[in-house]
Amino acid sequence: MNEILNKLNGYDAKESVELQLIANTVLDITKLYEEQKISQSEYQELLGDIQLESAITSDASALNAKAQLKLIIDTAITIAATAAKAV
Amino acid sequence: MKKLLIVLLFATLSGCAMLDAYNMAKFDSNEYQLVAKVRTIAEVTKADCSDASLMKGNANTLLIAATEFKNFTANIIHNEESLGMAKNLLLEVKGLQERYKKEVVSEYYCTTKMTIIEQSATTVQTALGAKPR
Repeated sequence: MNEILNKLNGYDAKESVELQLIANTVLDITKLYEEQKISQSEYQELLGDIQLESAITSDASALNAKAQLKLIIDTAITIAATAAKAV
Repeated sequence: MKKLLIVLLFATLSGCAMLDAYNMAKFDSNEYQLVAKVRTIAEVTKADCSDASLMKGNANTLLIAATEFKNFTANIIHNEESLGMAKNLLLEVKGLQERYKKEVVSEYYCTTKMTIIEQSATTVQTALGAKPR
């Protein structure tokens, strides 16, 4: 758990919250399995879902980075166009 | 000339990432609406987890919504991340529907599964909402 939380330092606040939720869900699932409230196959499936959720978070992060880069490019193009007009 | 070389070098080094970002699919309100629908179904029907017969129908409705989202996203160009998220979200939902079709499902499994689907859909929705207009 600590290892997971330490890794959160490299992410922004929103992504950290998402990863924190995932980490909490893993703990909840493990507790449910230990208390025999879910079967082994249900436990395995839910752990698989956690991996899918992590992959979704990773794709979301990549998409955000792309959107930010696109914003920078658009701003640079606007500045260049304005400068060209002024010359 | 020196400036031109610097510009060319910069463009070569980061050209792919720049081009990728420049061409990225813009915000699509339909795409956003479809994932919001998946999130809403999971959020609302979570309360029905104690009633297996009701949840069987809910699982089907959720599967249709998640499949619609994946299919809508699939043919938009320069939209790889969104498609990847849609596919993974659909895989989460498929597991629920298949289990309700085959066997007795525990209430705890159902509640946890719906929470995971809701969290995932929220993450996707947030990312899609940040796409450039």
